[in-house]
Amino acid sequence: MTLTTRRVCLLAALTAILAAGANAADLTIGRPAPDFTDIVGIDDKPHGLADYADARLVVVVFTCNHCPVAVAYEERLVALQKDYGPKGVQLVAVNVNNMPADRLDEMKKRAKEKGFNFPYLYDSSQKIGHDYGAKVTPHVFVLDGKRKIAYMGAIDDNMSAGKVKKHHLRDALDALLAGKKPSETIIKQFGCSIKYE
Amino acid sequence: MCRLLHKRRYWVFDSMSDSRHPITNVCRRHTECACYTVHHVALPLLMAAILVCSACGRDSRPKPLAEAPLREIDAPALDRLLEKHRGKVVLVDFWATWCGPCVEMLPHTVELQNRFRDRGLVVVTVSLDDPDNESAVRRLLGRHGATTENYLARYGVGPEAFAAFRFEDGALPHLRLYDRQGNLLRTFAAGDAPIDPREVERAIEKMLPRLECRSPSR
Repeated sequence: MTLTTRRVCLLAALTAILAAGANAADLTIGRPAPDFTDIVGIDDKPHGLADYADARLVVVVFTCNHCPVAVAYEERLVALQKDYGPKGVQLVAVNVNNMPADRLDEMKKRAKEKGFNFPYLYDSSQKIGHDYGAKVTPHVFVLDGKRKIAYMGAIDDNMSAGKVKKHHLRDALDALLAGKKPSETIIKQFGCSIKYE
Repeated sequence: MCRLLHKRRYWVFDSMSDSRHPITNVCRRHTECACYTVHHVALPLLMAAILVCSACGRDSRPKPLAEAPLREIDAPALDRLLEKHRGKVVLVDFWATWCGPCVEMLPHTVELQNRFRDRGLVVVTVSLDDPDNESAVRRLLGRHGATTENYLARYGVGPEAFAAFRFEDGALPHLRLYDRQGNLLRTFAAGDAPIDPREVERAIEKMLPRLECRSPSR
């Protein structure tokens, strides 16, 4: 085996280890939600999980501007906060993509256009994305009263709002607000892959 | 790559059919062959050469089609399709019109089919679009001259589709490469890193027999 081949093998092994490490961060139901602090929002202020301590449930949604699937869900997120905010649910949208269309100034524009009624945060370090194991936009994580993961995955069963039959996220919130465990706790997320760097 | 471009005539030996074909310098662009010259080729062979060239030197760049054929599919039907193609190397490209990187990847996928069809590659595209969006899928495939086997997933765009086809990361594009025995050899998933079309091509090429060129005197 030549030195070059050895180096290539070593590199491949290191890559495999790093990839395995990334997967190890994936959350499971019932595990404490990763904390986050000092993530800038479209209000230019730092935000952290502790800011929402009063909320009965927190919904962390990984989303972004450029992804057509994420865009298709924007109005549904606004409607969700409108319907569930009074019941003690706080939705927090987080973008970790660093594409030009996903930068903070573009996030501000989008939030204004669509009338976002929830915080929209930007973590250019992408740490929160890694911590939660977010794969795509949109990818949701519901945090219960003890800030443990109670539901994760898709918002509902169809990108086309008019064709939705199962409102997975709303169903999970309804169950949790009623003090029950959601009947489905993981529904396969789908959308645009998050561009980790 | 044909190195002897200054010569006028070449032979190509097809190891799959165990036959030898004369080809003309029109075939110089055919990158799969190392070619050898011959100095005396009879007229009928020259005619044959032109015919062969039309196949072996085929321009692999996709040409637009008026409309690409498109059929509906689900996960069990895809498994049956893979079974039907046993004996061929099969590339499945899962894509969608709403997925930017997929649309960028599509022409590369079509080109792979054009380049490697004669060497035993079958390319299947499966679109994860809303069935109501069928005409847009057909148009886009047509624009890219997709002579691949084209399907539209019957599930619509939602978790059912991503679970049925077992996309761990829930993202597109997603390509799967199967060997002649139907075993899944490689997966190219967008969730890991952007897919490099050259890497897909290299993986395919490794699995296909080479069209070997031999001297006619052998």
